[in-house]
Amino acid sequence: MIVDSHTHLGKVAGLMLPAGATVAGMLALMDHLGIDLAVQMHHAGLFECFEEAYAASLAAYESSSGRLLYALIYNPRYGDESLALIRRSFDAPGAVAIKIHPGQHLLFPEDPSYEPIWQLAAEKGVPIITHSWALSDYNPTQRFATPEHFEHYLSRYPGVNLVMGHAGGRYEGHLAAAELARRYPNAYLDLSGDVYGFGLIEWLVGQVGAERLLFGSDAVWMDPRTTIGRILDAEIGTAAKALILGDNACRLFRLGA
Amino acid sequence: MQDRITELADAYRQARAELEFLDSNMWIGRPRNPEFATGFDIHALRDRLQRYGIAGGLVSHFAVLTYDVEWANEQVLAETAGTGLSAVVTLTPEMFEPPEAGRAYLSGAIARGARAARVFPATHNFTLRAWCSGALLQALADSRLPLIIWHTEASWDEIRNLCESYPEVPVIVEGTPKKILYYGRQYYPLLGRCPNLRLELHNLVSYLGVEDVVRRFGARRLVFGTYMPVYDPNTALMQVTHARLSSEDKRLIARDNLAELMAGVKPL
Repeated sequence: MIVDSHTHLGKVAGLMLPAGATVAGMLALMDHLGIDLAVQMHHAGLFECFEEAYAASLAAYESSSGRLLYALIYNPRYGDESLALIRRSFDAPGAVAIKIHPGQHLLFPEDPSYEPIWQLAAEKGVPIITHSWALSDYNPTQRFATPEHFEHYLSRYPGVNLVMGHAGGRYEGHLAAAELARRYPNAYLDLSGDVYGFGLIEWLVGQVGAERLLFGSDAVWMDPRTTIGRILDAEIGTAAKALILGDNACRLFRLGA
Repeated sequence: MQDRITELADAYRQARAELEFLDSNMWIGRPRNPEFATGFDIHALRDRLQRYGIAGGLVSHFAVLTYDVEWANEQVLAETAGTGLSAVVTLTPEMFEPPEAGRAYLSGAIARGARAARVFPATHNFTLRAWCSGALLQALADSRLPLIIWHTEASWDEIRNLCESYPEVPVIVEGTPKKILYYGRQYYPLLGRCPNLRLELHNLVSYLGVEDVVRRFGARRLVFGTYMPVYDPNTALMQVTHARLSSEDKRLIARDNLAELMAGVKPL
């Protein structure tokens, strides 16, 4: 089963998204590319509208016949409300992970306000997916999501798996994310976003092993074709490609084979 | 699962080979940060072309960004000679003082195989307005030499002014690392307004971005490029091989659009 572990739905005020950035559009492209399932993290939840994110995610899950799974988004700025909604929402089908985005919510990952969500992830046995990136000279909020900041809770919750989205984002972030993954067996990296460096996939496999990498596209920002081709053509074995393209996600998100 | 992946990979490589890509965005010389890449000379580039099934295209030199533009132009002209690849020369306004000197320089470069030019107005501290770059841009207009420009090097309004003031210049916009998709609200209207504007593919990574541009403006407005060896060429390649477009449109994007631009270059 091929699983896109990092997608989004919903509008972004600062972006002009194409007409196909919808549930139907996403399913049509998944069919075209042979992607069986996707984990989506609704934009509304990244932008403080977490009730809307949950409702839209559940609707997408149902209208996609269960192919668009979702992560419940925790907003530490509204910790109590957000946590209560997530706790209730695990009773509904389709929720396979918790999402945090320190760069969007402008709180460093070691902030105490994240502790309740790590506790809940431990209690429910679900992974946390986070945005991770490198310091950026054009986006200062990326400083909230550089990989080293995740060590605080990674070390305190060895039973909670953390997926560092975008594998650290840029070169220095890739180095730091790989370093963290080498030291913590509960750290995973996904290949989503515009992280297209020549030799990156081969380097990551050499550093952390294919068992710790996941295919993700970052749709509906980036097109999945920009990442699938790189994995299919990477100079790694077919077994490693199978792990990255789906087997790891099936294990991590407890998806049926 | 492994059988399925082998099948998908084989089908992808086959589709890639059939399209005989021409790449507008290949580089030699050392990038400022090599990251995970190795091998930055013309031999390494040619090996990679074979590896990725790319038939040829345009080569630039990284030293144009930081060191000596004319030295770097000389390197890329010499290195591409006799290889079947074509050079991209970088230009600055003072090379056209007087204009005849710049035109002679450009004429010589075209005779040695240059088939596109680049400018870096932000990095090289100039403007594309006529009072500063008029002679340079007029020479490009007269030679029909395609002008490649990073979107981070000029505002979209400057690009609009360039396209409208010099409609004979084929302008190709690309550029990394900042995502070009942030600027859809600017480049979409410009594509509608400026028929000489084209987008290159390596950073046109937005969701359904290739199909959306083709649907609105036609396949002739896209030029294939990889930014190899900084980017993995598969980033752009699969955007074409697996586009939900006609075979004719894929062929235009993969090679014919660039081939036509290169063939349209005239001696000065």
